[in-house]
Amino acid sequence: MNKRTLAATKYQLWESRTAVITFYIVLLLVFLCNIILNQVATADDGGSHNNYDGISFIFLFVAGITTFGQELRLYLQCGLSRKQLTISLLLSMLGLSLIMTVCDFVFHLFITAAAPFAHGVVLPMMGQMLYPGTNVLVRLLVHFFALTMFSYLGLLISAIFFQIPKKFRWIYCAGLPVGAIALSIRVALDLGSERVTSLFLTFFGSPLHAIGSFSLITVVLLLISHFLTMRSYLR
Amino acid sequence: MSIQCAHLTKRFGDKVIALDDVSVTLEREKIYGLLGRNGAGKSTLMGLLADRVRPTSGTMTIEGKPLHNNTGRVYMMSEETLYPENLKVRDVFRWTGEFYGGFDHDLADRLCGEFGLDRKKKAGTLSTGYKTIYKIITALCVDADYIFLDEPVLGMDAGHREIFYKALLETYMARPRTFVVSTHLIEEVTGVIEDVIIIDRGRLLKTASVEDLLRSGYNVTGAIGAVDEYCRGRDIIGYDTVGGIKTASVLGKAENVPDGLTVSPLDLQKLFIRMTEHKEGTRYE
Repeated sequence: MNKRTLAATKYQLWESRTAVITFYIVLLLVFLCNIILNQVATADDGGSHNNYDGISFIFLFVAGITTFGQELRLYLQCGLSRKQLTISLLLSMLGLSLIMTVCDFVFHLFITAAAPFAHGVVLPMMGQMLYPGTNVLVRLLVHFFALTMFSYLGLLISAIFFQIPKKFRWIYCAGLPVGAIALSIRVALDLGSERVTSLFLTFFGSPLHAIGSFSLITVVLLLISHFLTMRSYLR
Repeated sequence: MSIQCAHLTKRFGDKVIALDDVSVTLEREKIYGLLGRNGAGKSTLMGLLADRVRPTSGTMTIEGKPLHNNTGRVYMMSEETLYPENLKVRDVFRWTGEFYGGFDHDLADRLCGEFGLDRKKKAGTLSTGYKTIYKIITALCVDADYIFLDEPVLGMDAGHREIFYKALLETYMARPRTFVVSTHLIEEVTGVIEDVIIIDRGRLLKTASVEDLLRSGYNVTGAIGAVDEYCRGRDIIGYDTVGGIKTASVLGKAENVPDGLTVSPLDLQKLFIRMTEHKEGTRYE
């Protein structure tokens, strides 16, 4: 790998350290507050509403959105080409997904060990939620690929943002979340719950299917992001 | 080997022609002064050379290869600060070294001491002058073969400017490479630069060594009438009149200068002003 690409990747991961550490510290503090304050909302089925479902995915999604714009100027200063820029961004998000997969796993183990005191609070990992009872490594792989997909989705959204002329960006910012929600509801209503369930099982019916689906979506997002970034104004 | 620019033109929109058919070669291991009036196109030219801006037309090569996407050996210090504001100065040095494959941390430490710059401070919290200083130190210490300094002394006091010029020469002597310094402080930089590139209204006006440029003529000073008499029939670059004393800048060698007139070397700043003057009848071309 070119030394500049490696440097840019290292920089991205180094720059993310504060955010990642803060994220897990806050997570730990919230968890401890749940225990200490005994603040557990009980659902009708006796379960707890205080699970931390999906927060790592949201974190990486936001990281993907913000990463693209933040470091562009630094890379311009240090003479990075577009190709080096896009490869380093993608590699760094991959690295971040790996780090957070490990951290989520460690946190999951910690919370599981603290279960007697945790009033039913859990940190479910994607692999465990979808495929309980499968091999730990498989569950970790599913979690990792899912995290990577979300981070690349954020990256793509950001890459599209920078392609749009400035005066139309507000339309994109406002329209995208509204449009995404509306489209999801529309699709779900049109297809019906049975069809949606069937589609879900097709793509995520087994760990292997899930890894394949996440990987495929990730590759598509990766290619589109790479293409768009190569078109960017930098070089 | 060098950086070669051929017929560079840069337009912004339909109306603004920032550079118009500029061809210039930057040799290795030289210190160039890039001079021009405000809006002449100096920063645009530097931006093109650092591959931050794409030309509308023309070609640029570095060591025989296309410059575009091949700027591993080029570093530019611009007026605009592109380093993240939350980075500490020492991290700016560290990461610049990572990207360029080398950084003279010993020199950086020494210069930080001379300038009084605290490496632990965040770049965004520094004053205007100290922001310029950390960028200068970065530029002088980075391991690059072509270093472009766009208004490097902006906001710096006289003492710091002297430190900069001294450091520039020292680092150049220790590790010769190409520096291109764009500045309006021509008098100060004359002792540092070897060659000049003069840009005027987007066009290349002159490239020459400082020595050749200053040897191309001389100043003659004396009473107005005596100077006018002497200058009759000679190529005159320009005049300055203060009270009853006139100074004429004359092309060629000083010959048959009558008593009562004083001969002195040309001044680069005055020569530059004459060359880029746009008043009718005063411009030297």
